[in-house]
Amino acid sequence: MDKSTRIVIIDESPVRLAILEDGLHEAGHDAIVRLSGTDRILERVVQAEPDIIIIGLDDPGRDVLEQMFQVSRAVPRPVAMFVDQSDSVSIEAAIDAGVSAYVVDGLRKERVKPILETCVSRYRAFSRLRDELERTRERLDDRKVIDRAKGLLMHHRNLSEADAYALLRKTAMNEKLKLSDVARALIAAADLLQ
Amino acid sequence: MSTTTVRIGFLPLVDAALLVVAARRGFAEQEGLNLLLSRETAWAAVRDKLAAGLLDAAHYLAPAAVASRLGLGTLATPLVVPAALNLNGNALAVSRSLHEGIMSALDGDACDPAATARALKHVVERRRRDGQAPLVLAHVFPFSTHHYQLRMWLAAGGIDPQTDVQLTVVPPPAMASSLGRGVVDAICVGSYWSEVAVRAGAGMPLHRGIDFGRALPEKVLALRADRDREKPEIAERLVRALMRSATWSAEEANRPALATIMADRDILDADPDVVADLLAGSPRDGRAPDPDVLCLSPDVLEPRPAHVDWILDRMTDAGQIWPTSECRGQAHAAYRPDRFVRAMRRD
Repeated sequence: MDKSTRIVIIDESPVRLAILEDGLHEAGHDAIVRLSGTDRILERVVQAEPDIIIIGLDDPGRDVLEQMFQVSRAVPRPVAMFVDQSDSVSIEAAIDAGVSAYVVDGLRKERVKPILETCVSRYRAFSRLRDELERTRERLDDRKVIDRAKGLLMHHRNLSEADAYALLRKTAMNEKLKLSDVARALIAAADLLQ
Repeated sequence: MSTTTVRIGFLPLVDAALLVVAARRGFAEQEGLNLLLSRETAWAAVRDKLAAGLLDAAHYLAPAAVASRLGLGTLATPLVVPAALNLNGNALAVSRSLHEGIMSALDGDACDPAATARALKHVVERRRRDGQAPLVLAHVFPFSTHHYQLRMWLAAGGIDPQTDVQLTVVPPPAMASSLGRGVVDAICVGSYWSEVAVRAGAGMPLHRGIDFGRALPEKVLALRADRDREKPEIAERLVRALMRSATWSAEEANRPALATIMADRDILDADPDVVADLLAGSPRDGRAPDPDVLCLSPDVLEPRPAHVDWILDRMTDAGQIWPTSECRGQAHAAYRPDRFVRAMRRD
């Protein structure tokens, strides 16, 4: 593993940035510069003299970095995206994972590929984490909604908690809906009737 | 007619209006399209997602669509443009101190870019004499009308964009704050974002985009050329839906509804009053309202080959291309007025 490859990583999410840096360290890369914010980002990137720049696909700083493709005073060396344009499979995998890479002229394909692979797998790990968090949050929300709907049924129909829950479940099954959706509809209807 | 789902990317800008209206007012549905709008944060991301097939079509910069045909800026998957989405719509605002400098050196009409550019030249020279850093002028993307308008302004004053000033890119939502904090001295951006800067007191309005040309290309509907060849009916349905949107949007009575749709949290997340002012052609710049400030009317939809020539000339001036007749031909392949006409005939 070549340790002298200088990598600049840019990400608005501090958590994803940490996950990414960690992954690159594990892969033996130590020359890593983290950057955030969009103020003078191009100048800061150029100052860091990177061989490769990793940035989130949806980062607002993307368009700022696009100036690197232009020949100008600000950018001393030409830059390419992903380096190997013929390798559309890895490019699409990277885009799909939400990573983009700007490679400074002179860095060889063989060196770029493992770096990019590390980034793709770390971005994917972050997405999985975020999805899981979202699902957990949804489940918690669902539980609150179901509790409220149960309370409404208990109050208005004079049911026990167990009967209120059973009624919700039966309705959901008959209507082929999720329990939480039936609960939401009930709450909305109750709000309307108030 | 079976319904086809189309994933369509847009940036939160007022000139995405016709696409948003097509999705929100049922015009796309009438053409058998289910539009999934995807709000994007950067033009580079739109380009990459089109290339990777994560988007089917997009609200895109006209010069970037042309650039895709010339293999500029890598990952440039060739795109086709069956319709324009608007003409004009940009504005140039400057910091308070630069505004003062320009106004005190101004000899001529403040609405004439040649006059303000000559005044700018004085400011540039004084700064050099005083040993101050060059002024920083921000636009939104290397291949954008905004970039070329800044260069036209500089050229009118005999100012060298390489050595006399520094051109840079700033994401539109960061423009007002960059101008207010002195990170940049001038911004050329979609007029919604210059209005934000002006109304927040971060800068002063200097020019409307139309001061640089009354009918300049701005955003277009872009689709991947190879996918368009496989399913040409998608572009044609989109064109007809856009025409319905443009006809609806052109009704003055629909303007408040249009402003509300665009100001929505999922679209611009903006102040509907500011959006309404821009749709009425009256930014807060002390000048009389002008409907050309942002043109969304039905007659702007047909792609104009003259715009490709204009873009190629500006790319040449900017040193982005060395135009050959071959390159002209490639660039013109992006614009497809024939597709537009065919789509409308089948209406």
